[in-house]
Amino acid sequence: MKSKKSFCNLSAVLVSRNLKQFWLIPFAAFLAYFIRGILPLIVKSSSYETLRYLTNDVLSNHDYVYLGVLMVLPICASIAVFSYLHGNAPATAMHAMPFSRKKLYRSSVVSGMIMIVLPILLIGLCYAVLLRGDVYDLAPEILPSWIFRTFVSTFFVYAVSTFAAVVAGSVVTHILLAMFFNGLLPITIYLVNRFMSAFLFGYSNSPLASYIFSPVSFERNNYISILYDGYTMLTYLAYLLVAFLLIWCSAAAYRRLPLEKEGNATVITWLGEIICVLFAFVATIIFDFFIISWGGEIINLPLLLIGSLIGSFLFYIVARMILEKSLAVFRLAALKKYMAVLAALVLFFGLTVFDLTGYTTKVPEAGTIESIALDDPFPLIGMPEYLSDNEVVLTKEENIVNLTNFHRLLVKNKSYLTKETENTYFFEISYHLKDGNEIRRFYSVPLENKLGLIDAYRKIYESSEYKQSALTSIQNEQASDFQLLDKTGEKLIMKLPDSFGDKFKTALIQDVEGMTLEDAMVIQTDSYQYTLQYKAFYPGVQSEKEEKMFNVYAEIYPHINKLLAKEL
Amino acid sequence: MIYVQNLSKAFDGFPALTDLDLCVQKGSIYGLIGTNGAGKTTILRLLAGVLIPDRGKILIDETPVFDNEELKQRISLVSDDLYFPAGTSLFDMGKFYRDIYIGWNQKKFETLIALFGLDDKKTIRSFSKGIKKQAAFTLALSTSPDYLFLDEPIDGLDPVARKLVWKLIVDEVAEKQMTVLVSSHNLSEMEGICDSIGIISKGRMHLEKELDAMKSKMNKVQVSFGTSGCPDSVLQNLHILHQESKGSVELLIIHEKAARIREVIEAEQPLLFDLLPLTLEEIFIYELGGEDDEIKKILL
Repeated sequence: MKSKKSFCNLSAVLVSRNLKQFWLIPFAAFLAYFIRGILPLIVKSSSYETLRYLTNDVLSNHDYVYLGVLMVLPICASIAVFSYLHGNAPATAMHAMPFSRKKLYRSSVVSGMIMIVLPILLIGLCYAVLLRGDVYDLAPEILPSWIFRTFVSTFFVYAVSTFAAVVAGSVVTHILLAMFFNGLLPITIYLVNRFMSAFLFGYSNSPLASYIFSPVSFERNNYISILYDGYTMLTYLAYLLVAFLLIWCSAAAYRRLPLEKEGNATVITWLGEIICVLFAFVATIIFDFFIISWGGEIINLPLLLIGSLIGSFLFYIVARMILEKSLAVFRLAALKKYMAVLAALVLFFGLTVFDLTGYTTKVPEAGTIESIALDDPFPLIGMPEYLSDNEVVLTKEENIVNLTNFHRLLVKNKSYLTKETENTYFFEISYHLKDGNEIRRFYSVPLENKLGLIDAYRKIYESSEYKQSALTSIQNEQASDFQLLDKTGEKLIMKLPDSFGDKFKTALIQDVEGMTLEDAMVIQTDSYQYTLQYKAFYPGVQSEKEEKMFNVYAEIYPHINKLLAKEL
Repeated sequence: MIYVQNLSKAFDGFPALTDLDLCVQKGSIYGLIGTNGAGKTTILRLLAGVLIPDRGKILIDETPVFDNEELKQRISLVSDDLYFPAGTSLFDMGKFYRDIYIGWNQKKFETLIALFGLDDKKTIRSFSKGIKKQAAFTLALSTSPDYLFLDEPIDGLDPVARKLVWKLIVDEVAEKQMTVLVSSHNLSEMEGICDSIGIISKGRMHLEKELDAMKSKMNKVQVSFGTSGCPDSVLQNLHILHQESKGSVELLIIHEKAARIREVIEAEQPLLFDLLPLTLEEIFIYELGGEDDEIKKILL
């Protein structure tokens, strides 16, 4: 015989009871959303622009209240619906009832899901009413996008918190683990990146930004009002997938949960040990950043090492005290496990502070390189503006050799270059090797000729291969509607005839071909005299014309200046 | 019927139960006796499907109990450590149980509330320990279980409530063939209630007996043969477990049926001969015959 009022292995009775017992949680979330975002629109408490800006902000989850609810609501929901798990008496009472573990788990999960979805839907409904008729001139997809993104983000945090609920043995541990697991990946990756940037000259950040590992940090770091591209949509679908996987894994773990351990800090002993080590490691790295900042520009290595040793031990002891719910943790067995923290730190320091792998000095041999993608601060004249990627690809042997020589020069003068922090130029070098591997380095260094850097880089910059991308683009460019403006770009001096376009192209090609590295460095300054404004179209590359502003430097563009002199 | 075979359960390496066998016949009351930490609560939690055994079999009516919703509909557990959600009254709990237990008997629920004199509108958490126990018992019985597991059920109850609880249990067993497994550290409180007793110590079952069978085979006799003392024929023909002399009066614990004892003793024409009732403690103590000090510690 089946239990009463259940379907799909779900107990409507349990769900209903949870909602009645914990109704305050979704209500509080709804209130927070409402007071922050909806109420100002109803009472029209500020000017149109302020309200428009506020609405755009909240519907991008950039508002601190909306962002806070993203994090707090799902954690509170999971704590509430799984509170019966954390204690011998409630766990016994609930599991002695005529529910399978699957049903108990599913009913709890669904209860929490309803708690997090309801406020989002209700607020969405409120916005749908208030924003109808395009009152605030916002993107039409902004609201459905907010509903979708907010749902995915809260569901993700909820899924992580559900996992924390299953492994935690007490409410306190559940709260701590929910926050720890949600922040662990983005914070750890961020810290590792920062540490490596501080110690490894040339370290290029991971292509995956740390904030991508949590939708909350993704929302925080990206001003997304709509899901405007495939990459963003894919990211959110990935969050959804991960969330579902976590829910599924938690279900599997719940099925075999050792309930006799409820009341301990964690129910899975080995996981508790891992968390202790992870916590001590991450906390030590954070502590190390404080030590580094105390020293200013010079890193006090002995202080860093001693601080790490003491800090890691203290953090580990604190974590053990929380895990064992006791102050008496100074036992040989526990201290032996501390060795795992030490081992992790030794490995980490070996890779970063002491650069045991030779990351800093590694420059591949020219013969092993297939091509090099080079990103430098010098703009590629004549390229479409929308192309933020300023990369040049070098394949000729001569340029590959020259670039590796330039790279070796940077590495050789590392001590000097890392001390100078003013007037720096960035260089991102990506080697694509013949064996299929890739080596990437990023440098932000002053370009000074006393180290021979300018001479070394000149060979690359003034090569025909380097300029080819720009020259090809100029050839392809169809320019029209030329106007000569003053330096500010606001005052019109004269409109130029359509025939100016072809002459301009010819003059620009000549000037680019003759441009030196010193000329490119001048373009970084504002010592130009005029601004040319025109419309450019790149067939096969763009579908629409773009408006371009071209700064005319007298000494860099002699042919263009001669042309303008004739027109003037 | 409850059938447990080779049941083992460890908590963080500590063996709470080791190769435990247990058998409870349908419609009987089984008393699980043991000191604190013996494993009684663990057994009950395993039987109720709360914990997962490390090894062994737990079958109720020949079906495994773990994760068995249908079987759990027929099982009710009253823990020693009770739990009620915050802010709930007995009325609320009754509504909840009514919605989840197919066998819920609302009339019985109301009757039991009246019988125990409980306030069904007051928050259960505000009740005293004893009243909470009564509330839990009321809820458990109202689900009309076929199997009732009670962990230290009368701990905290006053004598009147205690008597009422036992009466209700016995009535249910008699009327509906309900099977009851009750744990206690006190042998004397099981007196007159249990059909079988199991004594566990350090996670192992040391002794498991049906009381009627045991009682019928053991008797306490007060006899006097005058100054000549107990005749040899009595000492040799009867299996005497214990002999105690107070002057000319002999107190004998004899492992024989009453009819046989009467036959042998009356043949020697005693001056005084009485068959006295044995307590459960005495039965077990003398049954062991001085073998197991561990069990004696439990019983005494």
